[in-house]
This record gives sequence, C-alpha cells and structure tokens, in this order.
Amino acid sequence: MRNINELENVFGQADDDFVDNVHHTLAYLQKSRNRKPVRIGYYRIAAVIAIICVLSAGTALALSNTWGILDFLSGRRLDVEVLPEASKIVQTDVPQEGTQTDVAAFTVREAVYDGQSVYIVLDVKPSSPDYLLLGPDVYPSDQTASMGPIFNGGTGTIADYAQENHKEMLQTSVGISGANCSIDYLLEEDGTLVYMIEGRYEGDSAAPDVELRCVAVPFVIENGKYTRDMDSKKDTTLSATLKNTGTQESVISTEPAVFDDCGVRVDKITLKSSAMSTYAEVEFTVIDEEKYAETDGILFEFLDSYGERIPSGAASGGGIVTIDDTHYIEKISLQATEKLPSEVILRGYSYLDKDRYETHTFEMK
Amino acid sequence: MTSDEFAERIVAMMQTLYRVSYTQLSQSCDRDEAVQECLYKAWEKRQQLKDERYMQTWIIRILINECHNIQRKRERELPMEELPERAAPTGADYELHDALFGLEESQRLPLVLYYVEGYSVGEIAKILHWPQGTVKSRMRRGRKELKKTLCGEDSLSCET
Repeated sequence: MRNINELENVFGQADDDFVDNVHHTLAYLQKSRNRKPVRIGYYRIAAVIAIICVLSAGTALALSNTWGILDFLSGRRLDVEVLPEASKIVQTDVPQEGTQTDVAAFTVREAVYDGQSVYIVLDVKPSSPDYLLLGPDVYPSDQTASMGPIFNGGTGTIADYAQENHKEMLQTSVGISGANCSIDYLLEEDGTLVYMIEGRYEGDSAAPDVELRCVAVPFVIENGKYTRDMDSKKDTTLSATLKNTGTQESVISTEPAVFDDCGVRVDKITLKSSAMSTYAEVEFTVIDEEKYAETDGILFEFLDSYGERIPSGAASGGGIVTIDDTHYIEKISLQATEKLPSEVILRGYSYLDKDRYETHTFEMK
Repeated sequence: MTSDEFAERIVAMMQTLYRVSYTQLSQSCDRDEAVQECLYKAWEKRQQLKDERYMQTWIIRILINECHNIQRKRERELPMEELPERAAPTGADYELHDALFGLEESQRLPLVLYYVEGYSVGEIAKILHWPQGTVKSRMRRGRKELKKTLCGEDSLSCET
C-alpha cells in the first residue's frame, strides 16, 4: 500500500541548472540592487522542433542563410499573420556597438520596434570553425534536431555530433535588458546561430537604444558529465539603436462592464494597432473576491462576430500586471488588423479549468 | 533585510522553490524564468513584507503567480496539445510522479503544499487565495483520483 506522505519522492532534487539559476539571480540582485535582471523567456523547444519538422519553407530559408524577422514569424510560429506593411518597417541596417567576444561575434541582423514590442534577429557567429554554438536551453545530451532545420532527420546527441566533428560546444544566450523576452533560434550551415528575440518594450523615444546582454559559456567534462564552465564565461553588452515606427491607431472602450460570474469589473479596454500586431490591454478590478478565487485567476479572450476566438498576434502575451491587490491589467497580443474595430466582444475564462464565463460587448472609440 | 540575509533565506528554500515550480511548469526553462522573476519581485517589494516569519509563504505566493503568468503566456504562444509529456526526474518515484501529474493542477498544487511542504489548510487557502472549503474539496478530489490511479481504492493511505 502506498502512503500519500511519499509524495515528496516525486520530485527528486533540484537539478544543477535550477540551483545555478537561483544563485546567479541572487548574485545579480546583490550586485545591482534594484535593477531588473535580464530575464529570458523561451519558446518550448519541443514545440519548436515540432514546427521545424513540418515547415519545409523554413528549411529552404535556413539553407540559404536568409532568416529574417518575417521568416521566423511565418516559418516557425503557428498561425501568426502580420500586415503586408510589416516588411516596410523592418530595419536592416541597425546602428550597434559592442558586438565581439573572444569566442563569438553578436550582430543584430534585423529589427522592428513599433513602440510596443521589439522584434530582433541577431547573428551569433563563432570566431572559430571549431566552435559549435548551442541555444540557451540546449544541452549536449539533447538530440541534434533541437539545433535547427539543418539537422532534420539526423539522429544522435549533440555531444556525439560534436565529438565526431571535433567541435567544442558553447552554450549561448541573448536577452534584452529590462524586457521579458521570448526566444527562438536555429543553427545555420556556416555555424552561425541565429536568434529571434521578441519582447514588450514600451516607450515614446523615436530612436531608443536597446541593450542586449549576450553570453557564451563553454561546456567541459567534469566527473564524466558535461557541465558549463562558468569561469570561462564570455559576455558582452550590445547596444542597438532602433527606429520607433509607432502604432498607427488606438481605441478605448467607452463603458465598463461587470463580469458577475467571475467577480470582476472590466474598467477599460485599450487596443493599439501596428503592422505586426494589435496590442490589447484589459484593465479589471476584483469586486467579489470569493467568486474571483473560484476562477483560479480569470483571463480574457477576444471573440469575433461569430463567437470564434481571435488568433494571437506576433508578440508574446504580456501576462497579467498587478497594479494592487484588486486591480490588474492583462496584456494580450492579437492578430494584426487593417482597421481597429468599433466594438469588441470579450469573454472571461479560467486558465486552469478551461471554464468559459460570460461575454460582454464593448463599444470602442 | 539585507541582501545577504535575503539570499541566505532564498538558498534555504531552494528545494521548495524547485518543487513548487515543478508542480506547475513542465519545462525547466520556464521554471528558471518563473523563479528568476519571483526573486526579482520579492527583492523589489521586500519592504512590503511586514513580518519576516512569513517570508516563505510570501515567496511561494509570488512564485505561484509567476508560474501562472508563464502558463498563460505559453497558452497564447502554442496550443496546450503541443506540450511535451513531463518525464520524471532522476531518482523520483516514477509511479507516484505520473499519478500526481495526471491530476488537474487545481488538485495537485494544494496536495503538494500540504503533504510535501507541510502547510496547513488555512495557510494554503491564504497562499492560493481560495476559500478553505475549496482547498479541502480539491484535496479530497485529488486524493480520490490518486487512489484510483494507483491500482485500486485502498492502495493509498492518507493520514489527514
């Protein structure tokens, strides 16, 4: 007979990477006091692999070394559509400084900044053909397919591949200082690791300087196991000057609405449009704590006139921002649209239970 | 609280941070992101913690919020069906692992906080912002599901 008190045995011990991450974050906080640490979000690698496998168009692009922002969005993301005008706001000549480390050069290839989100494609070019660059969540024991389309159909681990080809493995990471980022990456045939980075970065500046923290850490064998040699870590801060193309249009809801089922009042909805995405903000207030608690955290989704959920946009979701104990803002990226609507339909739902709650229509001006 | 004291207490909570984030997030990179953001927010708002005795509960509350934020972000990026299956970590009890992670999160989380982290029902209610009755009913349903999964109704002894 099993005893429920054995549940502790389900977890094992925190792995080395988790422990390293906590120590690294604490060290950063101690060093920089109140500055926000560089935080990196990742697309789930397994999902990325799944996408890689079915996208032959993406593979063709990879082989010709021409992955740009729009290629990443169309070739590596599901159902993401941008407006045709998006191609006109892509910066291909990005002023930048501080790009080199001993082991790799970090260069911004393309950028888009629409005043709401930053989208950057960045090359990490190894300084020696003997270096094999890996993404931030890839390890030598992973399958080669996790490095990108050029390894499609290949079998065996990255460590095996590196050994057979006499290459030294380095883990790399790139993040935008002060922004929560989502990252995708792939290895090109010449050994360049290409990153697509996207993050919310709101500001009014016409030409903001964005800091990118770039890190490369070699793997070494210790006690028969691959581990990152943090003493040999190389990093650089790359400063890139972006052009703020701004949002085109903005509308705000005219009246609040009470979502009685879930104990909240939606105070305001704001929509801003750009060629990349429609950026939505839903500001809400908890008016019945018990009902709100029952929802396990309400989320909102936008519906079209047929009651279908409007697809996500190119930007990652901004999550929930807490204003205070009862006030929150949910930031949502919706598919880009030529013209913002004069009314929107909003439905509440519970993330955990998938319960759908009531729907309200808001007039937008 | 000095930064050294803060760091010392966080390091002492290492396994708890790991287990709570593991309970909610299947991907190690997501767990790293959640913990990093949790520590930043906790450090930034440390003056709001009126009684340092409750630091652990406070940190767990922040971490759970961050895990939820990441779940929501991920849901918008890719359909949930794309989520890879969670493999049990080295040294874990595989059978119990799979049974626990077969539960809905709303049942799994209070069970972990109660049986693994040692919180009372009242404390869990505060951490999760649920009424105590909800905590109890979800734990009850979770235990029942675990019993069913682990080969028969009487295969799991619950000392509560």
